[in-house]
Amino acid sequence: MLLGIVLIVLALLGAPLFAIIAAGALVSFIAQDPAQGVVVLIEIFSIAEMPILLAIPLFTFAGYILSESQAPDRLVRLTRAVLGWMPGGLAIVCIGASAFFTAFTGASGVTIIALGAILYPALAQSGYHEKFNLGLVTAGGSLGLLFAPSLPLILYGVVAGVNIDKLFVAGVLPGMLMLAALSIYSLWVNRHTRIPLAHFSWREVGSAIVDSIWELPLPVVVLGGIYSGLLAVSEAAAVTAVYVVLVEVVIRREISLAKLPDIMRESMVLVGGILLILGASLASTNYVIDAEIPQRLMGIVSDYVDGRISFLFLLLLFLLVLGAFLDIFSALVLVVPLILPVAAQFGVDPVHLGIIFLAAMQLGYLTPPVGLNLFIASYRFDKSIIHVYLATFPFLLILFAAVMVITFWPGLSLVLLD
Amino acid sequence: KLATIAPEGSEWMTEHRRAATLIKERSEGRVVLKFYGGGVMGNDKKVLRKIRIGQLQGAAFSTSGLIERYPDIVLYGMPFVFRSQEEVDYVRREFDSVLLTGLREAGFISFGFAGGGFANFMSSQPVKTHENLKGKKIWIPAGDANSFAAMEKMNLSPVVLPLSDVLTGLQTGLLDVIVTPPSAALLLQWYTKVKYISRLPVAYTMGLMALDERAFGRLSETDQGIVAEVLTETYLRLDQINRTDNREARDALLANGLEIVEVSQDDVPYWRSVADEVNSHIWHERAVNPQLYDRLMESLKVYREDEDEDEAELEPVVDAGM
Amino acid sequence: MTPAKDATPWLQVASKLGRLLENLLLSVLLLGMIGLASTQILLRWSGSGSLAWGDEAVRLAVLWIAMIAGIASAREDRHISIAVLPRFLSAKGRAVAAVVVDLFTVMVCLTLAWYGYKMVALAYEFKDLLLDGLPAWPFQAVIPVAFLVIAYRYLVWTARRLRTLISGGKSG
Ligand code: NA
Ligand code: NA
Repeated sequence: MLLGIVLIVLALLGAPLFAIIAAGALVSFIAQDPAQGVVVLIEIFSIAEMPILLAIPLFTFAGYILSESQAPDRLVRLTRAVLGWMPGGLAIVCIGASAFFTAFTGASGVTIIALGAILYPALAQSGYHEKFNLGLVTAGGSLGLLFAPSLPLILYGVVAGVNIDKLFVAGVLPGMLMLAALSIYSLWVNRHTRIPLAHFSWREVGSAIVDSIWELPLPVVVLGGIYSGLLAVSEAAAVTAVYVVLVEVVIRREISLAKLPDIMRESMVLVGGILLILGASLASTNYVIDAEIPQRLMGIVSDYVDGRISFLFLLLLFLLVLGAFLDIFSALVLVVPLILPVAAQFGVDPVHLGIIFLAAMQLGYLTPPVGLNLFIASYRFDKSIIHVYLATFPFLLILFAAVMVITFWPGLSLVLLD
Repeated sequence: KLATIAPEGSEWMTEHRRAATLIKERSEGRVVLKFYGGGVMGNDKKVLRKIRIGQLQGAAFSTSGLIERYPDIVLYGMPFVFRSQEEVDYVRREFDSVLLTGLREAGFISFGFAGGGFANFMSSQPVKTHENLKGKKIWIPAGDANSFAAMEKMNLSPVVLPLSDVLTGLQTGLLDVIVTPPSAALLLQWYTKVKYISRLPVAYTMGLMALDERAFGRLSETDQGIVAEVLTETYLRLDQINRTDNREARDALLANGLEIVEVSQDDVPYWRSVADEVNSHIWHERAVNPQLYDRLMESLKVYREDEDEDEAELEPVVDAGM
Repeated sequence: MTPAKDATPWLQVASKLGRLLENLLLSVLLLGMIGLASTQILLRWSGSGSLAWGDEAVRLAVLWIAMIAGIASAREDRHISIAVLPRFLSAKGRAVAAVVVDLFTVMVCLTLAWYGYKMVALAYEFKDLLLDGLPAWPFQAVIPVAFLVIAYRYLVWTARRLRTLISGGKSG
C-alpha cells in the first residue's frame, strides 16, 4: 500500500514509467524472496520470445518514413479531389485523412504534426472558423486508432493474448462510427457557413490518384496480405517497411539516405520506450498472477457490481478517468491484465473489451491534465492549452457519445467477426 | 508452485488438482501444490528459468519442453520411430526407468509419463505428400532438433515456437501446419484454426510432471513418499485416460468439421528414410547417452521380428494414433 | 539534447561518439531485422526452406532495439512519463523533484542491472543455448549492460540538475 502511494507520487513527479512499473515488480518479488528479483528480468527478456512484437518496430518505422515524406500532401490532395466539392467536404477530408494516417503511424501524435501542417491552413483558407479547425485537427490526431494496423490495437492483442486479426476486423465498424459522427457534426456546424466549394473534376481525381499511385496499395498490402493468409501480421509489417522504404527513399527520393539514420533513431526511440514499459509490465503482471490478485479483485468488484451493464458503466467511468492521466500505451500494459479476467466473468468478450478500451483511451488524448493531442496542437499551432481544449470540447462530446454506443452495443464490434 | 499449459477446467487440470488435494490431505497440509494453468507462467524455457531461481518448483511439460535440460527425453518423440501404440508400450517397459533416472541426474524428479498418442499433421490445406508441405510454415516445438533437422533435410520451412505460442502462431498466420495429437489440438484450442488431419503417425508425444530436485529434497522422507505415490498413480491414470481421450478427441475434431486426409502410401518410405538418417545423426550428436538410441532401435527390431512383419508395416499408417 | 555547455571537450567527444554508436546499432538492428524477415518470406515462397535461426534472430533484434533505444531515450531524458505535478511546483520545487526522480530511476536501473547480471550468470552456468547452438548469455547480456548505461545517464542528469539547483539557489 505504502509502496503504491510512493510509486504513484514518483510517477506524477515525472519518473519514467518503465522504472515505476519495474520498481513495483522488483519490490514485490524481492519481498517474497530476494533471489526472485530475477523474475523481473526473465520477464523483460521475454520481449525476445514474442513473435508478434516484431510488428511494432516495423509498422512504426514505416509510419515515420511516410510522415517524413510528401505522402501526407498527396493523401490530402487525393481526398480533397474526391470529397472537396461537398459542403463541409474539406472537414471530411481532414477526418478521413487523419484516420488513415493515424492507423499507420500508431497514434503517437505524428498525425497532428504531419497532417495538421497541411490541413490547418487549408481549412482556414477555405473559410472555416479558426476554433472549429483547431478542434477538428486536434481531435483528428487520434482518429483511426481502431483501424488496422494501429499500434495500440496490436499492443492490446499482445497484452490480452487476443487474436490480432480479429481485433483488426472488430475495429472497423466502431472506427467508422466515430468518423461518421464527426463528419455529421462538421456538416451540421458549417451548414450556415458560406464556404466556396471546390469544383469536382475527374481530371483532378485522376491526376491525384496517379500522384499517390505508390501509397494507395498500402492498405491492400497490409490487410490483403494478412487476410489472404499469405503473410503473418509480423510479416505484413516487414513487407510494409520494405515497401515504404522502396517507395519513399528509392523511387520517389523524398527522403535522402543521409536522413534515414535519424528517422530510424527517432522511430526506434519511441518503440524502445513502449517495449521497455511492456517488458516491465510483463513482470508486474506476472506478480499479479503469482499472487492471485485477479481472483481477489473479482471478489471486490462483484460486491459492487451485479451485472454486465453495471460492470460496463463502471468500466467506462474507470477508463475515462484513467485516460485523463495515463497515455494509451501505459494504460494498456498496466490495466488490461487486471480487468481482462474480471470482464470475462461479466461476459464481456475480450475482443469487445479491447475496442472499448481503445475507444475510451482515444478520448484521453483530448482530456486534461494529460492529453497528448492537446499538448501537441498547442505547441504546433502556438495556441494556449485552454484555447485548444475549448476548441476541442465539442468534438470530445461527440466522440464520447460514440464511445457510449461502442461500449453498450457489442454487436457493432463483433458482428463482422462471424 | 507448479506451472502447466493445460487450461483451467480441462480434465488434465482436474486430475492434477485432485492429486494436489490428495497430497495436501495425506501430508496433513505440509505439502501444498498450487497449479498455475493456461500457460500464464510463460513458455517452457521461461518456466525452466523460473524453476531455476525458485519462483516455481516444477511444471507439467511436454517432452520437448525439457530437451534443453535433458536432451535424451526426446527418445520416444523422434519422428517416424514407432509405428503403433503397441510398439511404444513394448519399449516403454524397458526405457521409462532409464529416462526417469536421467532426468533425476539433470535435476528433475518425475513420476512417470503420460502418453499423448501419435501426432499427426493438422493444416489449413490438405497434406497428402511431403510435396504439400513445401512453402508452408510448419510448427516445430522449440528445442526439437530431430524434427527440425528432418524438415531442413526436406527443404521445408519449419517455424520454431514454444508450445504456448502455437495458438497465436496459428491465429496470426505464423503457422500453416502443426504436428500434434488430436487430444492436444482439442485441449489447447488449436483445432479451431486448422481444417485437415492427415492420417500419418508422425511422432509419439508425452507429458510429464517434473519437480525441481532441490525443492523435492527439502521435503521430509515421508512427504516425498506421499508426493511420489500420488503423482505416480496420477500419471498412470493420465496415461490410461489419454488413450481413450485421443479417440474421443479425434471424433470431437471430426464433429467440429475437420476432415481426415489419407496420406499417400508411396510417400511413407520417403518420410521414414529421412527420419532414420536424421534421428540417428542428431541423437548421436546431442544425447547424454548415445547408446540409448541404438538400444531402442534394437529393442524395436526384436519386437517387430516377433510380430507379423507385413501387418506392422501397413497397419500404423491406417490406424495408429487415430 | 546536445552535451552540456560546460562539459569538457573530452566528454563532448565521448557523448558524440556514444550517440553515433547508438544510431549505428539501431540502424543496423532495424535494417537487419527488415532484411532477415523479408528473406525468410522470400525463401519460403520460393520453396527453398528458410533459415533455421532466422525467426529467433529477428526476435532477439527486437529486444536489442528495445534496450538500445532505452539508452538513447535516457540520453535525452525522453522516457515516457506522467509528469503532472511539476506544473504545480515552483521552479525550485521542480528542480528538487527532478533530482529525486532521477535518483529513483538510477536506483531502479542499478537493481535491474544487478538482477540482469544474475540472470545472465545463470544462463552461462546452465549453458543455455540459442540460435541453433550458440550460447544464450551474450545475447541476454544486453539487458544488464543497457540498464547500467541508463543508470549512468540518469546519474549524469542528477548531477546536472543538482548543479543547476545549487547555482540557482545562490543567484536566487
Ligand atoms: Na506474428
Ligand atoms: Na488525457
